Amino acid sequence: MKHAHRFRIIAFLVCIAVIGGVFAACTSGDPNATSTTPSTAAATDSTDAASSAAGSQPPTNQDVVKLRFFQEEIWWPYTTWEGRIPEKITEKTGVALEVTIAADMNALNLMIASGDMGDLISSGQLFTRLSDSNLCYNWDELNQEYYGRDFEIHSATRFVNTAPDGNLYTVFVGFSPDCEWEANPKGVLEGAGLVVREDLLEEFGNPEVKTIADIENLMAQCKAAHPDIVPITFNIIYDAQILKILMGSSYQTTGFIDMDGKPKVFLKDPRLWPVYEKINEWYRLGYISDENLAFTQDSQDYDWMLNGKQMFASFHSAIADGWNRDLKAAGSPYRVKQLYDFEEPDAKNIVGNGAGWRGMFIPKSCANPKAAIDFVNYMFTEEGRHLALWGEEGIDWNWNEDKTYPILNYGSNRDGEDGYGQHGIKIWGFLNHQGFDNSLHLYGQDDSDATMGARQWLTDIAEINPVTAMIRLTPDSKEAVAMAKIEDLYKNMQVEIYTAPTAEAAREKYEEMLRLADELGALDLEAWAEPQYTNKKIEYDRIRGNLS
Amino acid sequence: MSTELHKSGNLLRRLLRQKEIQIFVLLGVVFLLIFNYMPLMGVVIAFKDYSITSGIPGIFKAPFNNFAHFKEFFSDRRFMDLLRNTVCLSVLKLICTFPAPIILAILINEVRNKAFKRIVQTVSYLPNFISWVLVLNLATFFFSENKGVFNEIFMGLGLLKQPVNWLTSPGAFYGFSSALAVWKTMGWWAIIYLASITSIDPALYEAAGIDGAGRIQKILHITFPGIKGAIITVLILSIGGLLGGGMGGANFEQSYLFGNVMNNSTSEIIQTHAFKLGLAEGRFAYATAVDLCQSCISILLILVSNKAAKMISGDGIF
Repeated sequence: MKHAHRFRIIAFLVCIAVIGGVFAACTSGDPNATSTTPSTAAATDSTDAASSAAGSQPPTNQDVVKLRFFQEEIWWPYTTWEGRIPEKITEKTGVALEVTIAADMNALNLMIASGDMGDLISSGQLFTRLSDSNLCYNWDELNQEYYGRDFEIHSATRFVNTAPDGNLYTVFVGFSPDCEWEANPKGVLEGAGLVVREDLLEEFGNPEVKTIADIENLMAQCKAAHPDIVPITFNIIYDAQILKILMGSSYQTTGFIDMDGKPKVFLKDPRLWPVYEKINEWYRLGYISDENLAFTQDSQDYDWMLNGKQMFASFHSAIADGWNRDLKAAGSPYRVKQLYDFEEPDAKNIVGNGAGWRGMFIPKSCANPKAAIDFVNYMFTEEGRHLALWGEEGIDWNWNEDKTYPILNYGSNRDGEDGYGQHGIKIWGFLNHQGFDNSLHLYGQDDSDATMGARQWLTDIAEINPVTAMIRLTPDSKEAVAMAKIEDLYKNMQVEIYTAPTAEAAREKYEEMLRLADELGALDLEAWAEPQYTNKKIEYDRIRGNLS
Repeated sequence: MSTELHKSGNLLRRLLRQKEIQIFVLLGVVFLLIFNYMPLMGVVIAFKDYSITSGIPGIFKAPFNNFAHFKEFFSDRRFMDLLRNTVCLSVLKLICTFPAPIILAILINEVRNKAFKRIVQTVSYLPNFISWVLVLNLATFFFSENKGVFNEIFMGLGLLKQPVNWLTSPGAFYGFSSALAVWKTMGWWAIIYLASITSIDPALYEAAGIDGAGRIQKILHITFPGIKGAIITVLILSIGGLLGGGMGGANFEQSYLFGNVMNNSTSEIIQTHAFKLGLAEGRFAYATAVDLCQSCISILLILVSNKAAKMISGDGIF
């Protein structure tokens, strides 16, 4: 009897353990499980963005809808939705975000496969994957359902962001139609840049650096006088973009470029060869180090500059202002100088990502689609955009006299604790900005002269064609597979061209890269892209001048 | 027939007699089925046109694709490079990491000072607890071409005229990775051999000493045969996981972290290929097919190595 009783106890404990294990294995992440507001309450609890923006009563804590927000970018600066400005946005929209940042580049793909993508997603990489009516709501559909109208956006912006199925699932930030650029002459483009150590520049007689030949002269002097200093480094993301701009070549690393009105796979730009030839020459002269070409992290050139290991750094246009603050804080005896206003006759900034770079998607797993579209709608109002970018008008910033740029009331280190940081505004964390206004707040700021100068030069020589970026590859299609393989080929063979032992060997490698690209399907890709590119280009050129 | 029934009846009776204990076994079996065998059903996507947007139901509903993923992998322009790198790196790591812990264990066993012995053992297995990401940072600090500690020292001593590109040279990748794997795992695996050595009867050493055997002879004729079983078990397990890096493990981590565009021709292996052109692109089916190929090769290797071990020494693990 005692034996049977003991057996029953053991059996009971085992059953509990097994059931617990099965539950652990099968938990699929109920979309409502972590949301504080059930979907059934959505219609009554959420606050209408339009009415909030118009000044109706702000939502109380009980009204606030918490949306699970997933950010695909692993570097996104917000880890929590905290601070005065995020709270102000919550007050206006009735929405607070529970932020989750991707742990790695596969996270969003895994979420898609699991079927639970939270309530709101921000992605720059998976436009075509997420532009699927089975996965995400389209913004017109939600606005029609709740407000009886389509999502309001400029016709050119709508065209640029329309998915292959004709729906609008997101609007990528960073694109501005022509009329916006014309109306905002102070707006500038971001992009690649070049900095040089000022102490070395002075050591070599403080010459003007306006041409590639000037750069080469300085590198030669550096190599001779300081063999332990690497004359130039290329950032892992920006690579040799500044040299490509100076020599008038495209600098895309994926997708298509326009060559004489036809779409070509990005590595087919014939203007790339002179750039490769130049870099190969620099490599053979010892101006570029193997270790730099093998960089795997975005911060390595920054570390090298702090440690005095390099003279020039090919990076982006805001480097000098940022690095000089850090060099000063680190007690370094030298500063860096942002170089711009070059006088190279072929210089051209061919903007390949002119269709924007990141957008919000409302997945079908969203527990409260109305709250999500309210949030999106508000972020795409001028008030919402300015609030997210600069803070509260009248408190954090005011327009200049002719209302062409904001004057911020922050300290010099705007992205630090004494500036944006204390209010919860974080650089590169903006959920919406236009092409022209991402840098507008730097205009006229004493500590941003170099950044604005470099960006103005990039803008002056810019050629923006968003249509090449509108040739979007369908996930899992043979075109997408071919493009992925060509990107992989480019990544590996470009460095073989850079490091070839002779100019002839570099040329052979370059030709081999083009031949292999064709074998991998570049020609088929171009034939596939051409009709849609032609049609989209005609349509875009027709509407690009529209005022609304 | 009646004998078989009798045997199965005996087995059932024995199981019933041990039911309290067998319930715990059952628990383990159920967990094994849920966490190790049920997910294996997902392997079927290697043979299908599976898209991640079709979710879990898509695993079963997606149409078969006539081995398209396998054909794509085998016809990839880099297939032979990937295979060569995977096999060369794995074999070299096995050759380096397999004898190192045996030698270390025997050397530690020969140390007479107990305090020193304990310190050596602790210091030698500590690297096992350092992540590969941290190892990368340490390696960059020590082996960097630009002001790395070793290059600075060797150049300062006049042993090198110019810095060596340990981290970027394609020719250095296999050797450098194997050396790091030995450094990281040698002490950990030595624990198994040290445990095995403690089970050897001390009387054997005493008897050998009386017979005039020296240290080397004792090692060769007592210690080594005494740990032969452990050596074979570890060897077979290592060969089974050979393509994952064997005892050194972490082929993927090493290739992914230490691989870069400069040494890519030797650092890209099957697993990193599956990750970069499969998982990262959302092509889970292709990644599964590639990994399935590697798993098949691994199973084949473990069967062959077990058979070979049986033929050579009479011992195997199954």
